Amino acid sequence: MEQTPAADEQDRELIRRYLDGERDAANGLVGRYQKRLFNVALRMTGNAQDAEDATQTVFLNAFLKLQTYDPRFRFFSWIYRMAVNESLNMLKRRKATVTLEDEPAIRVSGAARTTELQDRVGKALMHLKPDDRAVVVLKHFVFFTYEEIADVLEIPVKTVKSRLFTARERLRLTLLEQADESC
Amino acid sequence: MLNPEQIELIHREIDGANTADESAAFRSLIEGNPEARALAADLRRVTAFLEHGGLREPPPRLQQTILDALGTPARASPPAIVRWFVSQWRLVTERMEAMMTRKALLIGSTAVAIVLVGAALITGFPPLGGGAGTIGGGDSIPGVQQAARYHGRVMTQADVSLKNPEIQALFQNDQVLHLVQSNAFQQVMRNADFRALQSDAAYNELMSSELYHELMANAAYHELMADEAFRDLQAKGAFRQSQSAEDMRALQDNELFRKLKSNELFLRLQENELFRKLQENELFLRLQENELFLRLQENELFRSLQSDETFRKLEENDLFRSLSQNEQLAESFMDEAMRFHK
Repeated sequence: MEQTPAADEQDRELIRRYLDGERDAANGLVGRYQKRLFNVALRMTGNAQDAEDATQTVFLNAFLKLQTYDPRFRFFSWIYRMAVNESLNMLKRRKATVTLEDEPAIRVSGAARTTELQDRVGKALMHLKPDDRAVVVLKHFVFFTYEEIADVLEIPVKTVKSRLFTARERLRLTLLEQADESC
Repeated sequence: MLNPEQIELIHREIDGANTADESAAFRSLIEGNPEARALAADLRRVTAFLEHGGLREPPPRLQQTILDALGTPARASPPAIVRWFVSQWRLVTERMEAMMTRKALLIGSTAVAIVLVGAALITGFPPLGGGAGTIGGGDSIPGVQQAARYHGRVMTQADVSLKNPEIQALFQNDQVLHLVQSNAFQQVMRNADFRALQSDAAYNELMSSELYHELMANAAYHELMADEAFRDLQAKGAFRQSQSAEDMRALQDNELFRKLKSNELFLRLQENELFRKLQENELFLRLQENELFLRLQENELFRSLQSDETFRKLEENDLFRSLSQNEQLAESFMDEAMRFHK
């Protein structure tokens, strides 16, 4: 879903109000972004608890740094970039204790357990390289255009396409393998 | 064997990034090339697989946890606010510079300044500060302008009294008085969902937007909102998904959606540019996920009030918005309206 200029303007207005001391504005910004940032972190880390922690960290850092935020740049690019980077940092920290192979796709507890298909999505994503996964997540879970992904990840559009196409080819092969195994 | 250009063409088609000409080239490619057809089908399956289930709801406590951790925001220091405005101004001027030469900018700015000063001399300079000048005057519905002084502070019974000149001004307006004394208004004001919705930032911002005003004046939209199938689909978030993912396939199995597709009103509304714009509006999309708003849409009285221009203007008034969040103050407001005599 392309971020519209009107949405950018609403972000700027909420930031201005927050800097002016209005608590409601923080509520507005969190409300606008928490679901999508949580899902980005969830798909990047493959773990619901990590995703929750990452989302909190991103928002707290964002509010802390809002006074230095330059409104010439789009807020959504800035905050999504923070979410991807925080998720990558979390993966690095976790790598020291847990190997990727040991990690279940998306760990959630009790009634919130995901369906088998969603588990398969999570597992397949975790087999991608983190850089490739970031592109897939921004494309298929928050529906960004190639240009928006390039903006968020600060890479050329050509690299976005190359990573996305490679990652999807890998996912395609993974799915074919899974289909063969289940036969 | 497909070449890299053909592979990219297929991927771009899956992503909806091709131009009309490229899409035609894609169709021609898959018609004549079984390998291309197989790859396109596989990639569509990968996309459907990834997007299955849509976005997961974050834990309900997440938003509050973040806000609690933030604490009360310290008012930004004056230099921070100045920095903000300077950077905003820089943004505006940079865009203008792209369109105008420096000389033209100077001439243009001078002309704008002269027009503004001239207009101010004729109509009077606007008052400084936020307190004065909120009652009466230039709005299309006198007495219903923003009264920003009530925003963010606890209101008391004394604010909701005929002794308050702003309440007086509201009731002096025949349209407002008629609305407030109506049965539909009183029932909606007594609805707990409505009161809770008054403090929702997305709802308040959307109510103030021109786009929303225009849509609310659209009869087709109201007829569609009265349609249970449409509301059910909205409540399930399925409609939103179809808009954002640009992937209608998942919806084809949805019985409600199939029913809706044969609904003439829905088809008319899909062709309505305002409605399409609104579907891209982040505030509107957020409201579609707001349970209070969805529940209120089931309420015929609320829907009828939404299309009432006076009600919408009233909803933009901070005094009204603040008092309507509180059951007792809302009751007092209606009581005062009933005993108001010009």
